[in-house]
Amino acid sequence: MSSTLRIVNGKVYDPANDIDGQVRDVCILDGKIVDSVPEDAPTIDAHGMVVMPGGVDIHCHIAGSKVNLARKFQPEDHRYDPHPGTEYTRSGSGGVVPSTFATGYRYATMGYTTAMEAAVPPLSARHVLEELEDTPIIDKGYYVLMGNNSMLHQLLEKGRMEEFREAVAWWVKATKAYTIKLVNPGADEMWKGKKNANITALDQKIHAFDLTPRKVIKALIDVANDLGLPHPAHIHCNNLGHSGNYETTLETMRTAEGRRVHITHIQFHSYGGEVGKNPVSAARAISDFVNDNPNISADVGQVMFGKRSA
Amino acid sequence: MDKNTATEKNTTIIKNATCTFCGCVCDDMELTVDLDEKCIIKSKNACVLGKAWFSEHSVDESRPVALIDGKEASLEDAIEEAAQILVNARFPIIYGLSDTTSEAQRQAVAMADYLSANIDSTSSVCHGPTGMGLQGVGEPTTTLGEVKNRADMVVYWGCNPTDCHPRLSTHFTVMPKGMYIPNGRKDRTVINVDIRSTSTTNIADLFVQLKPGSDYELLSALRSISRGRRLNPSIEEQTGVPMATIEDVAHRLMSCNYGILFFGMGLTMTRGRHYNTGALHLLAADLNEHTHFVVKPARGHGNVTGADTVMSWQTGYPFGVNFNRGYPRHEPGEFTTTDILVRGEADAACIIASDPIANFARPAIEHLKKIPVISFDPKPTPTSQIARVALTTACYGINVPGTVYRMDDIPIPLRPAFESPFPSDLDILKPLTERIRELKAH
Amino acid sequence: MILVPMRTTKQGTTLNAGKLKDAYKETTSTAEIKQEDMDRLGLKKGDRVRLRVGTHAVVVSCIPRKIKVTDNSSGLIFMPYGPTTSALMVDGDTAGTGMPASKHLVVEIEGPLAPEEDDG
Repeated sequence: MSSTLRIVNGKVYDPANDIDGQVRDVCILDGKIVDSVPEDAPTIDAHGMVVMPGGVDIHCHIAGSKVNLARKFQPEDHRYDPHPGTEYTRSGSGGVVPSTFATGYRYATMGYTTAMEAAVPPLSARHVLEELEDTPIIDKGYYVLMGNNSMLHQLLEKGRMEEFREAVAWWVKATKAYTIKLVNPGADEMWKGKKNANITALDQKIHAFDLTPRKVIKALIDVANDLGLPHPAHIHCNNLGHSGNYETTLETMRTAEGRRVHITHIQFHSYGGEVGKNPVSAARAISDFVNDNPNISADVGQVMFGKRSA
Repeated sequence: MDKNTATEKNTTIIKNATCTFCGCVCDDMELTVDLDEKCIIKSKNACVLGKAWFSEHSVDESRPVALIDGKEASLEDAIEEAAQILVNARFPIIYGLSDTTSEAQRQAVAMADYLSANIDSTSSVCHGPTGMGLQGVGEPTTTLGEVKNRADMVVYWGCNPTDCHPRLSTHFTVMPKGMYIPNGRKDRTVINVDIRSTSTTNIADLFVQLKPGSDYELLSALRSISRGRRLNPSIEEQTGVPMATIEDVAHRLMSCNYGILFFGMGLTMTRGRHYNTGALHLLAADLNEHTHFVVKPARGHGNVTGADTVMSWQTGYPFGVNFNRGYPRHEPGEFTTTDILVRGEADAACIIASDPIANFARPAIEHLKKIPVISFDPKPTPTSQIARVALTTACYGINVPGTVYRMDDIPIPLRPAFESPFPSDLDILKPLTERIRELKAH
Repeated sequence: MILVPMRTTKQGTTLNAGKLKDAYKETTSTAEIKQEDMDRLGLKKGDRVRLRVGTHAVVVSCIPRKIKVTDNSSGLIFMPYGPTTSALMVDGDTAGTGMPASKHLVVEIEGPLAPEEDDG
């Protein structure tokens, strides 16, 4: 896309500026929206089209080893949703986990301009970069997993905070990540080291480490803030999907102590009720807390209807 | 650059180079390169196979970059001839890919896409049945680093890594000390299951010899015990393994802290193929009711994992992919190369970094000899000898930079030793793809 | 007997030197047989034998298996993968899997052959 452009005759929707279906020009100069551009600027005639801000998918899984494994699992699922190529575009397949070219084209077709792969193990970053290079049109980024990092656990356990911070900074830079991701922090050590055990409470001991999930969460929230990352620590809380887990989510948010943090797919972390029984909604308690604490951002997550890969 | 005055060699040292001979993809090689002779004279940390890989890949600059019908030709003419062959074919196939970079693999899939061709990697005659097994039942997976740091139970089933992946045991899975394996070898139990004793048996604590073609039965027996069932005594006759041994193995697997099942051609190439690998994956899944258990196929070539990985992300399918209808389809037995050749369906073949004439089943070889073949290889091989267009390429990892994928799907960068006058696979595939697109547009 | 093609270190190192060279051809045409089978068949180390599948045959040399851990591998012949084992993969049927029958090939073994007996 040219960095200087005039888009004319389109129906513009721009909620942030109260523009609601008005036919008007949109001018872009050096990659920014401006009032006007020179007469001879390249022009796109958007007659009959909607002109809208591009969608940003803040949390998706579109690239990397786990996504690719999911692609491998269900060839029959891909077969029902082929994505034919053209003279200019590559072919691919769809279904629950589309191939990379189809992913880029379909996001763009839906009006997205950015998608963020939400969970990248550092060792996999190179693979993710290759897949994202093969995901056309849209802008991409990703979050690097730090919440179950054994080496970081070792530094944190010993209170070596300066080195902890340097290590996190190095990992974010070396992997070209956008921010830090935590998934079920502390639980990997339980799962791999303690015969598939799990974390159920923030103050539970993480297997062989003198650490708790709460300590890991706090340390990473602090580092992300101290490093001034554009998006804060992005957290998939412990106890996803379990009845009563809203307490864990509230505790995780309290751990931020007023510093910026992002809680992801928060609807799956907003259940009341008793463990082992059907959940009830605790969305009110969660949304009240988020609304009362401007340091917290959240995304709701998406219930996927139909088939899934797990 | 060091001028070694004692021997008057012009040498340099490449640290942390990557060996791509086998799927271990060891990335701690220290190569001493003779820049004048353009060869590697020392490869510290390499195993015997790696040493041969590095020392034997010097560059013979007298070789022609291309042959068309056995006569020397320019690269441009060879690319034109190759493009004409592929565009004029009704059922062109692309095969190989396991010994080249992921960048070249990506370009090969692009070429297949624009050509509406069939594309397949050596997986289909190697761990393809593993991919088919996991399509049915899933995969409990891991990385080699986790195995080094946690595994106290290592099972080698139907594979012989001591001969075929010499550093797998010494560098990753058995000998090293790890975070939770402070005493290295002493903290681990190694079980070797095979139809015969091999070099790997020599390092095992327990050798289980089974009858050829009875892996599925033995795996099912172990699954049964892990699920609390009793076995019918006929299992002894079926597998050749005494009941006491089967029960002992099952209980050892169930009671370890972290176990891994490595496996190889003993499962994929024998009766049952993907049923065998599926049963092995299910055994690991069942064992996760008792402890943490994972599987890993011992991949043979340096970047065959990359071929699966690239094809899966670009098309949705890991191997045996067909673009005839303008979108990818996958079907083992239909779009896998051996079958296509045996049925006589292909009428042109582009073989990249592979040697099917040396390794394929006889009827497949016979058909391949009848159709025009384009070959990409750094060295002369039985396949390049019968090729209509034979291209001499630079060697990945030795001359060509890029990315490869280790057997546990970890991407590893290449740090080449010296430049080659020959083009890389990617250097050829790019203009070849462009020419194909031009020809098809008319 | 049952032929089981496999990979060996020597096959790997000679492969690197070049598949058209003698060392690779030699290593991929050498069959390893358990000593008791060799005794039973009247074979000595280095004898040439003919392995036949249907109408296709190859001539290879045989050596006794060197193993540290005893096994019961009577009736099995082991040979490194290569053009020679490929020549005996006469059945291209993959049972719809893409993978041809590559191991456990049932072969007839004939030998020792006289030095002047040719291949095939």
